[in-house]
Amino acid sequence: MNRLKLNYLKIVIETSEGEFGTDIPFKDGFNILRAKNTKGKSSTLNAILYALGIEEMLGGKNSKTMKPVLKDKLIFENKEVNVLESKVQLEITNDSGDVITLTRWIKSTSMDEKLIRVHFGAILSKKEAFNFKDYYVHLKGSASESAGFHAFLSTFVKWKLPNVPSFEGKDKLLYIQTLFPLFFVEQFKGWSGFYTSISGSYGIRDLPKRAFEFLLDMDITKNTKEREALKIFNALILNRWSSLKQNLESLADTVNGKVVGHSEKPNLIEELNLFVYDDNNKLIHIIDRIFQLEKDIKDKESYNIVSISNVSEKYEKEIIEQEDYVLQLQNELNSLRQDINLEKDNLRSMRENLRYLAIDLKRNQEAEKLYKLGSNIDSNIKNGTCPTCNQDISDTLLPPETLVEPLDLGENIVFIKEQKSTLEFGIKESERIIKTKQTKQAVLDQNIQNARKELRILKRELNENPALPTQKELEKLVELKISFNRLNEASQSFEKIEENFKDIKKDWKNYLTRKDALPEDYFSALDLKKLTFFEKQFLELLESFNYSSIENIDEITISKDKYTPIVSGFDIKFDSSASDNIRLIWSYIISIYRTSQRYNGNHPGFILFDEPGQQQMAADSQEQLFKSLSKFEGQSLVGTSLEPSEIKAMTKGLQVNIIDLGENYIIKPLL
Amino acid sequence: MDLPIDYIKEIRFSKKKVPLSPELRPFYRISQIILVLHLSSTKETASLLKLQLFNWGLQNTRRFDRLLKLKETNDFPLIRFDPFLNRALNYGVAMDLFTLNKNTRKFSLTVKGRELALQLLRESIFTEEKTFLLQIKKGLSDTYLIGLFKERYRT
Repeated sequence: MNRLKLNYLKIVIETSEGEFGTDIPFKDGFNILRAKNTKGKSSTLNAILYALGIEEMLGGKNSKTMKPVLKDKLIFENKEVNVLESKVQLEITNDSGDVITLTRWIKSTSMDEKLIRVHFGAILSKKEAFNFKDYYVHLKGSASESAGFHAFLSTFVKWKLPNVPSFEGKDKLLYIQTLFPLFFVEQFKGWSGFYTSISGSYGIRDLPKRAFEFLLDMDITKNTKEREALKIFNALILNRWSSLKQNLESLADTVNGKVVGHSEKPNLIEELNLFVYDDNNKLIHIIDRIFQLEKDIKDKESYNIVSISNVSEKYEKEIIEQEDYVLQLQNELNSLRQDINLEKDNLRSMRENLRYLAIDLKRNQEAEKLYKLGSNIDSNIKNGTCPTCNQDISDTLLPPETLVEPLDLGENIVFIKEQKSTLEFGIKESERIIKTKQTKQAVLDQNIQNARKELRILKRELNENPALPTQKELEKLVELKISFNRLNEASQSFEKIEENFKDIKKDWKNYLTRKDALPEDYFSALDLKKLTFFEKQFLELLESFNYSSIENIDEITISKDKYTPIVSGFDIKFDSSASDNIRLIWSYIISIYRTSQRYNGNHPGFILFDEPGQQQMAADSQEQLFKSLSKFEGQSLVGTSLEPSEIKAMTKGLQVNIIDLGENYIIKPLL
Repeated sequence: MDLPIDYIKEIRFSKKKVPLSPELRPFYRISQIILVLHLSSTKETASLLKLQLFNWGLQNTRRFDRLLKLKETNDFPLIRFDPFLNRALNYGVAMDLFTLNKNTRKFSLTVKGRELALQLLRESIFTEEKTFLLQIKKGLSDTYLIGLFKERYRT
């Protein structure tokens, strides 16, 4: 059985001249609707689309897609007749044998063109009365709401239309209209490609592919959807995971702890644990540490606290000792300071001397040079003799009576240098001594400060209430309580995080299970089988229709990307030979049906070709088409303007229902 | 202090040479005089007063400024009339490096003295002193200095 079968089409036009229209009963299997060109054949076939609310395929919505003959004027016996009211009625059957009759008005004063009346019975073929219900098309919700005609129609045809990815990012329903181009080839646009996109693509991504996949009931649609859903799910989990990690780490930081068991990516095995350091700087579990602290606090609070009255005597003694000690340190420090100052004075004077010595040395060295120079000019200088009397004189300006015997310049220089090096040594020593003493002074300063602090504490404690615990003990207790509270808080936050962790683990498991269920490759095994079968059918049909644009038909394959035929990686050009293009479409449309039939797909089991004999199609090719259509298990309908004799010749020996509407206008007075 | 004098039979003294500041060496001072005459004196001739003033000025670098600013301040410094300079002048005259004009009581460089002056300028000796003298040029004339000196010590 087929999902959709046409039983009867009726067009009714009320005019001032009476009722006009046409009655067309269809049969199962192969039907040929024959009429002379321009006599209304296409109008009639398009009326089928109108009745189904699929007139968008004709490039618009509602009655404007219908020819004037159905809504304005018709010509009868060379006379223009005004159309007052018109409607189209279509009786269809589904695969359960349910029959309904659709009525849609084209021109009416009382009935909305967006309304389709459904009679739950065969009112055309059996002329009986049935209940009816009105449905709507081209309104929001007409594909999904219960009063929407397309929602009703898809239920009737038993199509579970999927939600598919749209350009807006949100999923959209694969509208019923979008499937029709794959089995309903109308005359004007239908022969221009494998899939004639109908006014707009409803914002659905890769619409022709989705329609193809649906008719073949391929897994890919839902797999793609699942894959995309999983991708989002995965991103969501990872996001939650990383924020959990961050929370964990900052929590661990607040307690100087360490988290064990959170890896970079979520996994199912690991457990979370928060460790902190105990008194011995060893890592232990936070809960254990809390228990430890609790016990410590209890111990201290109950009995172990040393109170002042217990220690006052001891403190008094200690204070005296401490005071002595401070005094002693102070004395030491004072004498040390004195030493340092003395040494600094010493150093200063030595440095000054050194500077004078340096000047002295320089001058002596200059003098030495001078004497050398002078001796070139006056020999008295070298010899140390008097320039007047040539007696020896000492080299000095001091009066001779002083009897001073000066050193030679050379000796003098050596003497100064020795002095200098002695002084330099002294300076170094002095610097070293100062440094050592200053270091000692710093240590002493520190010691004195500590000793004084201790003394202050001792004195203060003695001033306090004797029953109070000592400050030392109190401080320790407060410290314990603070860290206890802090760890407790941390532990509570940790528990929350742990809950969250379990949630994420659950989701992760769910994710992994779903991912496992998906086929690893893009196509499932069954999908591949379907595509292979489709390809085989397609090539067989092409050959039988005498396709000749490509010599070796085996070179043609079906693209796994677009589901359309390709030759060595490129789409088959539609301009190669016009009649071969038509053969491609014939083959394509029929192959879809055959594949769906074979694998129990969603094809309605109904095919319509309006004027398949396009582009001076060779008669024998058309004969082959008729032949394959006559073997068709479903219902097929071909509209043609061939002469009755030609049809007869072409369909010789074939199972066919020829509906010849004669040589005149199809629309004629109804009897 | 008790010295074991009773046990000492003989004490010998030997004269030790003493270190001497270069300023007290004749030729050091003579060289300075030559530089003053050559660089800072008109016609390489100067009075004793000028030579004593410059001798005072050359004793240490801190005094350079006093002389450099003398024209502005007109403040003749309180100087020591150095007997060592006089002795050095005697030596210099004896060595025929400069002469004393009996009438003007001024010292002038001899040819031998000028030769030494030129040699001193070539050598890297007295660099600071030479810079100072070149700076002051021949700005402080005998006439000016004697006038200033008389002004200051007129009583």
